[in-house]
Amino acid sequence: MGKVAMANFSSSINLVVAHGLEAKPIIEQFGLAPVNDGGAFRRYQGLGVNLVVSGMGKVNAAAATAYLYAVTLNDSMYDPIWINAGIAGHKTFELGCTTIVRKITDQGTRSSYYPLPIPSSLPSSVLITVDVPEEEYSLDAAFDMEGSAFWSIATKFSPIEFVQLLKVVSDNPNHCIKTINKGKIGIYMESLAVQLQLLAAEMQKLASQHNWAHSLPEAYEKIAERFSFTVTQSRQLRRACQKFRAAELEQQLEEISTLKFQTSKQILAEMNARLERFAV
Amino acid sequence: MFSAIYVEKEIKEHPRTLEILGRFPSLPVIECDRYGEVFNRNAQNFRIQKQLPALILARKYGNLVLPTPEGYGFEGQGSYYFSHMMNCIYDCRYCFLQGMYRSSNTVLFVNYEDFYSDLERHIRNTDNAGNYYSGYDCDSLALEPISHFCQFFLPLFGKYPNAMLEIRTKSTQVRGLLEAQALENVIVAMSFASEAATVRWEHKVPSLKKRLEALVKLQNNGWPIALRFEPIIFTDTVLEEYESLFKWVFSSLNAEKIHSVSLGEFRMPTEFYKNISKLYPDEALYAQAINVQDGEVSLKDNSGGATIEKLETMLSDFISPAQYYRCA
Ligand code: SF4
Repeated sequence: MGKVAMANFSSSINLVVAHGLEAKPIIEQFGLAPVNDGGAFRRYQGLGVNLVVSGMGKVNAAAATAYLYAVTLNDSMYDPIWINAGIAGHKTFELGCTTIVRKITDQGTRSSYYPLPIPSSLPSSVLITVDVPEEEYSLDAAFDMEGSAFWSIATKFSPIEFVQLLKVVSDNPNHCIKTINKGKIGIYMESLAVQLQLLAAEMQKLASQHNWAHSLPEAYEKIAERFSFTVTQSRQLRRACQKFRAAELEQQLEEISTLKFQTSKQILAEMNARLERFAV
Repeated sequence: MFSAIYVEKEIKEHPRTLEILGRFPSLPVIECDRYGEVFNRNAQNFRIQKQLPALILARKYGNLVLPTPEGYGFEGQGSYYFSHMMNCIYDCRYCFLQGMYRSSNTVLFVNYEDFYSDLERHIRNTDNAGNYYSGYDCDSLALEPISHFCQFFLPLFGKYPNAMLEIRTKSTQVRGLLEAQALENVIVAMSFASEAATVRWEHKVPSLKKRLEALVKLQNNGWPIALRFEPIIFTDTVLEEYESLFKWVFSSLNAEKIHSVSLGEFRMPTEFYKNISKLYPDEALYAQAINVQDGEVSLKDNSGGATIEKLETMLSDFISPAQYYRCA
């Protein structure tokens, strides 16, 4: 599928989940279906939503995030929204408590990252991404094994404001990691999935506004199809088209798209000449 | 106003930090090592963040008082600026801060005592004089109820009457000033643009009427005030718009007592302009033709400079030449 403008300016929602058991309630909540493409990671898809099951640990999380980006790259012209969802240990939170992550610290590198503090009624957490399961709960924080790696890769593909992490507490000092079982994960993730949908909707609002502002007028496609533009010219064309729209001169752009020109250079010259005459 | 408060670990127990946190009990408080971790990282989008800006409480190190860029403010004795804050809670579409910073969070440096000492050192090294500007990369008064900037810094300038402080603002948070004894060497410089420009480009900023009311109160209380008409954005109706603005503003103020009046056209470093026009591809202001000269962008003025000269002539009906300067 080629890059097409979405009528509603929505971004795709890309979900990265470590384990199939964690993914199941989300798949149901979002009505996703498996994509059997024989790819490196298990993947699910629904209307504007993609989910990849990464496997545990930082390397898997990073690889699956990059993989999901690569296989969905051409589905939309807008940067995707990214959410990492899953279970985590926590020193002080009750089991089943869903928490929004406000700070991620990679225990190995000591680097910290800060997602946009999106409004939420959920309790906030610092998330510490560890290399081996945390059994000490040494700090008042949530602990997982994927978050920092997910963040590092997802923020290469989208602005950091499009990336969030949502965790549900599966273990704490009173209920150690060994007490987690299939049934409990399902219950915890069901309640996370409801919150995930709310978070995704909130993020979509921000993304849609951003996407609208960066979208191109219809005449752009017509002009782009008529000539072959160099990379630099393509960039100039996109910017000029945006300027026509910003200046409320889309009618003129439409007209230009129907006029006869010999070369891409000529049409760009005409566009620039008209923009030169524009005053706010 | 804010979506969260980030606090540098080092100043989390600072009395100013605790006082500010006490004002926002329901906001998430997130600890960080240095404000740069949150404030100016790559891949941030100023425009998206501006919808949910956070406050960052931090400690400023290094040179706290810096020489002003060439052409900024008055000529003469040493000119310096200092920034106890970075960024602004208002949202003017033409503001160069959007091109200068990647983050739209507001940083407030709570170590006022260090600013105080550094300012005092500069004042002493400048024969107890010099021009000092606050509000170069923030709006000095916009966060006044939280920052208490005036309460802390005014006494320093009370001590050195030959050192001049200019507080550049569009805010009407002047209660701290009105409650204090007026100082002849502290000038409140209020920025104004035409009504049309204000409506179009100055989002979340107090109305022109409220700004003028604040200035009138300050002038009546003995504070020196100044007017900054900038940025002038060339439109077909710019002369008419500013003619009525000038008439309105000067009809409410005692023009003779105004410390200074300046005009400045829209101008910013090329790099900042590039960044802003990427952020706002849908903004007509950034679709307008531009001139690029010596690393600076200005809007194309089809009048060949006559517009600014005409505006200067209009101003001369209200003020003396000694009161006027044109921003470089
Ligand atoms: S008030 Fe000044 S500092 Fe604040 S956004 Fe407007 S121009 Fe920028």
